[in-house]
Amino acid sequence: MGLTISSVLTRLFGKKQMRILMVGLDAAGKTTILYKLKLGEIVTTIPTIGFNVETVEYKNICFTVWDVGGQSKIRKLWRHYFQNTQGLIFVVDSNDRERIGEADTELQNMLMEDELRDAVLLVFANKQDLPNAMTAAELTDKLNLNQLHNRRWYIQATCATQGDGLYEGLDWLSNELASK
Amino acid sequence: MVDLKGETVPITPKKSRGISMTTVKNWLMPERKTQDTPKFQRMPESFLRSIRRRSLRVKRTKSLVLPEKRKSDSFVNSQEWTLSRTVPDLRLGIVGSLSSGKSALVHRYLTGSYMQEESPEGGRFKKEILVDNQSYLLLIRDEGGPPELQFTAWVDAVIFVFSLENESSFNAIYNYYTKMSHYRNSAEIPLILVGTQDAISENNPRVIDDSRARKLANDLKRCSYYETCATYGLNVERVFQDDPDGYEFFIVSLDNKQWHFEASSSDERDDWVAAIEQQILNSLQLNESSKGKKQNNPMEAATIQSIRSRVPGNGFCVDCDATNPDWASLNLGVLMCIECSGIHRNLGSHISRVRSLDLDEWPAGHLSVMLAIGNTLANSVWECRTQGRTKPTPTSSREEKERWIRAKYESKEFLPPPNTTMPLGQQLVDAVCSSNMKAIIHVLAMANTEQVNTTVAPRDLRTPLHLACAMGNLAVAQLLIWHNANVKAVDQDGRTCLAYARAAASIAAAKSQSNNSVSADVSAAASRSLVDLLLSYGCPEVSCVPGSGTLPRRRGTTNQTMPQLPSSVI
Repeated sequence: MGLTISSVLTRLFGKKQMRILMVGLDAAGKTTILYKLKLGEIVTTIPTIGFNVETVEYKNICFTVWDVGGQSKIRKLWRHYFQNTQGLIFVVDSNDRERIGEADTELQNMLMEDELRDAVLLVFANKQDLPNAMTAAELTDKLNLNQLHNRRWYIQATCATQGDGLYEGLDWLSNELASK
Repeated sequence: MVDLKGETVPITPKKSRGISMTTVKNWLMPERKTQDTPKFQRMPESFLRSIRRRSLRVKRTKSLVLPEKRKSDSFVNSQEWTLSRTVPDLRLGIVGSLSSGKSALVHRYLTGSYMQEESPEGGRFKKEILVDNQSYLLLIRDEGGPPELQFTAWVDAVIFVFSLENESSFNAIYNYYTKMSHYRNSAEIPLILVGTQDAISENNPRVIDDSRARKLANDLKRCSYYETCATYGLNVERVFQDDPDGYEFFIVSLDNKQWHFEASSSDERDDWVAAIEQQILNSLQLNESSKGKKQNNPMEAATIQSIRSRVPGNGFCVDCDATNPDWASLNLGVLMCIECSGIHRNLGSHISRVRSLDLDEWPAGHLSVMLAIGNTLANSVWECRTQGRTKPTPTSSREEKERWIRAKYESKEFLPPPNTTMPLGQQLVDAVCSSNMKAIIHVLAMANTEQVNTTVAPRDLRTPLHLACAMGNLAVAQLLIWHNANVKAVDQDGRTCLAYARAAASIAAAKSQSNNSVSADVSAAASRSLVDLLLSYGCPEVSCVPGSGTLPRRRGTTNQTMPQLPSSVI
C-alpha cells in the first residue's frame, strides 16, 4: 500500500528524465520532428551536420532528445551517443522505398550494440502524407521488427508536418519508462 | 544548431524561443581533409551571429505602422515612426509597481539624467540603437499597471523592475509574471530582472538581499539579474544594451553533463565561446586524423571533383546561384546549396533525392548520373520557359526559394512545350537510343510508370531499360530505375535487362583489352557497374520463360495489351 502511494506520488510530482536518441537515414524528418515536439511548429530545416539536442516535457517526463545527422558517412558517429540511451527513436521516410533496405541494415546494426541492449525502440514511420508511403505494417515487415528478441518496440505512423502520431509515440515511451 | 561549414544554421525557428543563453556543443566531425580547414575557421563567427539573430527577434520589417494602436500610442504618430522604413523594431516592455523605480531607470537610459518621479500612467519611448552594425528601433513601453493581454502580446522582451528598498515592489513581480504567463507562453519571451536602488541610505535601507533577488531570477525561468542605480547611472546601459541576452553559456557534453558559465560582458562571453569551440574543433580533428581510417575510393574522390568543377553549371546552385554548391539531387543530376537542399528534401524523395557530396557514399550509378547531367543541362529543361519569373538569388528569402523550387520541380511549370506528335513512351525509346540526355530528362519529367515501361514495338518487347542496358549506359539505366522502370521486365525472347547488360559488359571488356584506351576502360567499368546495379535492384539472372518468344508472338495480340505482358509472365 505504502509502495503504491509513493509510486503515485512519484508519478504526480517527481519529474522523470528520459534520454532519447533519435536517428535514421538522412532526410527522414528527424529535425522536423524534434522541433515540432519542442516548439509545436514546423521550422525550416537544412540537413543536420552534427546534431541538435532539446529537452521536451511531456506528461511530467523530461525527454532529452538527441537528433543526430543521418548522412551515410556520419552514421558511424551515432555510436558516440549510445551511452545511457533509454529510448531509441528510429525515423524512417516511409515514402523512400528504395532505401528501406539501407534503413533496415542501419537499424539492425545498431540494435546489436551492447550499449543499447536496454533501450526501447520506437519507430516513426514518417511522411505518411506523401503519395506512395509504406504503411506501418509494411514497414514492420521490411524492418524485420517481428524478428526482434528481447526488445520492447513500437511502430507509429507519423506525419511530422501535421504533428500526427508524434505524441502517441511519446505516450508509448512514457509508459515504457513508467513500467520499468 | 551548429553547422560545420559556417554557412548556415540548420534550423531557424520562426519565433524567438526565449533561450537567451548560448549553448556550446560538442559537435560531430565528418571526415574532412585539410583543404577544408579554412571553411571551419569561419564557423564560430557565423555561429555567434546566429545567436544574435536568435536572441533579437526581428520581424515586421516592412512597415512600422501599427494601425490598431495608433490612437492610444502617442509615439506612433511621429513622422519617423509612421514612415515605411526598413529599420526593424525591438519591442521592450518594462513592468514593475509604482515604487519600483522603473520610470527612473528608463529615463536615465534615454536621457542620461535622473528623475525621481514615478509616472503612474507609464510611458512610451523610442530610441534607435545599433546591434551588430544593424540599426534597430528600440520601442520601450513603460507599463503603468500590471501587464495586460495586449501588452503581453506586443512585447519581444520584458524587463521586470523592483526596488531593492521596497518589499511590495519585489512581491509584485511574482504576480506580474504569473499574469503574463496566463496570456502567453512565458518561454517565448526573453526576460530580465532588475533591482533598483535609487537612494539607499540610513533612512532607506536595502530590504531585498542578494539571495532573494537571485532566487526570484531563478524562478523567472533563470533570467539574468542586474542591480542598477539610476541616480548614478550604474549598470543602466548594460540592462538595455543586452536586453534579451545574458552573459551565460553552457557546455553540454555527449554524456549529458552540463557546465554553466557566466562571463562579465557579452564580448567576453563571445570570446570564450569562440575559444572553446576552436579547442573542441582542434581536438576532434586530431582524433580523426590519428585514427587513419580507410580512405575513400580514389576514383570516387576524383569523380566527385569533376562533378564539382568539370560538369557545366555546377559551380553555382541550380536554384539560387549560390557559389560552390556541395549538395546534390541524385535523380535530377544537379548540385545545390545547403539551404536549397533543405527545400528539396521537403518535396519528397519521389521528386528529389538529396545527398551530400562530402558526407554521403557515392556508388557508381549515382556518380554516372551526376556526370551525365549537371546544372546547365538540367536547367535547359527545368527552366526552359520561366515566363518572366525571376530566379532567386543567394540572398533571397527561404520562402521565395521554396516557391521557385516547388514551381520548378513539383508543378513543373517551366518545362519546354511537350511534343505532341508522338506518344511519350516512343519519345523515350528514341531518346534512349540516341543517348539524348536532354530529351530523356524532359520525357521522364512528364512520363508515368506505364510510359517508362513502354516497349519498342508490339513484337519487340524490349523496354527503354533493356535498351540502356544493351548500350551499357549506366546513367540512363539508373535514371530509368528511379523513374520506376521495371527491372524484372523481359523481352520477347525472355531476356532480362541483366542479360543485355552482361552482353554489353563482355563486349566492352573485349574492346578495352584490344584498344587499351582510357575511354574503353571507362566504358568497361561502367558496364560492370551496370551489372552490379541491376543485381542490387533484384533483376533476375535469367528468364524463367520456357519456349522463349512463343507467348508474345501469338497472333492477334493488340498493341494495348502487349506492354503489360512482360511483367505478367514473370
